[in-house]
Amino acid sequence: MKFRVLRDSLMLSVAVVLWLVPTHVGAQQQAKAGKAASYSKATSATAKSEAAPNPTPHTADGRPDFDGIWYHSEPGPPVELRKGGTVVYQFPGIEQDPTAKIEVGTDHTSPAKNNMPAYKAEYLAKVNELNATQLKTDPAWACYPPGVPRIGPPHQIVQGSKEIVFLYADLNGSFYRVVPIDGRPRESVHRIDRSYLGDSYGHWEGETLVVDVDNLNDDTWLSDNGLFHSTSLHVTERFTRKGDNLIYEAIADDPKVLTKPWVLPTRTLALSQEPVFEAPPCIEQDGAHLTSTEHHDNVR
Amino acid sequence: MKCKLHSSLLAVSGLLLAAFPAFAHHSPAAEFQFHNTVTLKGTITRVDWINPHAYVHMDVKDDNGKVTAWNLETLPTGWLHRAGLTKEALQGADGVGQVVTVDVFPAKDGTKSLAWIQKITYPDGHFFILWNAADDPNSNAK
Repeated sequence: MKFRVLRDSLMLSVAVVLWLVPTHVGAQQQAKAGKAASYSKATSATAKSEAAPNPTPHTADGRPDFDGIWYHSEPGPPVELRKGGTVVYQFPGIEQDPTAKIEVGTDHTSPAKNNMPAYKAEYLAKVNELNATQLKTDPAWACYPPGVPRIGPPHQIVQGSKEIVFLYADLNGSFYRVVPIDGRPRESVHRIDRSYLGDSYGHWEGETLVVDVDNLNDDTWLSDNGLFHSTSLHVTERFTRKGDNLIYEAIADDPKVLTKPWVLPTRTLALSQEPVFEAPPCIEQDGAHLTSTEHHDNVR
Repeated sequence: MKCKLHSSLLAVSGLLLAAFPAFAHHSPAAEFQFHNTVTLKGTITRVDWINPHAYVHMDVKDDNGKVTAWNLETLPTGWLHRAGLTKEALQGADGVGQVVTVDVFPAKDGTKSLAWIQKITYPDGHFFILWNAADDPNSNAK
């Protein structure tokens, strides 16, 4: 009931915004209004993937080229700006650049929604307790690195012949991962300390880059809502490029706490021209002032 | 071509925030009184362009000349950025000392001088609406 009210309020707001745009506005503002309509559709959980119109580029050594900025739609509230008498409605997720694409085919709710990891029975109470106290116990809430797979797909990829670098502009800061893809010995990437983003090792399976991630610390969660993991966690990521879309898949396997590997929803990202901005410092200041445990998901 | 549009429509929906879980985890309703709007006029002393929430710090002088330093919280920087707002735009053309009028929702826990920004208006009349209180059933904001 409440959701229908929310949805109807949103749709009414968008509809009224579009109706108020006068007929004599320029083409650019018409484009903005059109994008506003597509924003509300695009962020629907039922958005479908678009067929990539361009061929998949390859590097000189014949590998799929993942180099580029990969757009993450980060839905946010539309902001009304008034400059010199002109009101401009800007909707996060819809670029002003008409050539920019949006992320498609992804349900932007928690990856665990309707798809909970299968915890062993003896760990369910712990998950429930962490869920109930997450505003105090979630490391990401305290600005710690989100870890893998919670950090999600990279915002930018820089690809060389020996290594591929994943760059992230995350809510909690700027992060990077260096993934060897030249077939060097697996043990050469092992570091003596466990870390938030682990050790990554890449290999090719046809047109797909498969990245194995291990040596993760247990100071992260798989996702929101108490989904802890152990140091036995191993994550397998798969990157496939189809035209101007990057398909990202991830499976989290933690045999100590899970009865079976957890398969995250597939995400399809679109190539973007929008520069990745440096993530500002993450400084949590709300915890001491909260009067309830009311919260939203904190997805990437 | 610039055209004047009706100004009473508020495009930002607090309920829209609730529908998009990319919001920074805790619900603002757990911290701020969305049924109670306070209007402040003062000068901006600093903008903290940080996550999970940006802050506008402003000095407000009362009728007796006493100055109170307010900490005004708003959206994540990524959301502000994608909407075309920069730290400089929020700070205002005058920089430190910029005069602004801000409609805010005070903190629930009694902390004085802590509030959530609903709307910030600059002397030349331009404004940013960062929370649509009109759509919030718990709000009496205009």
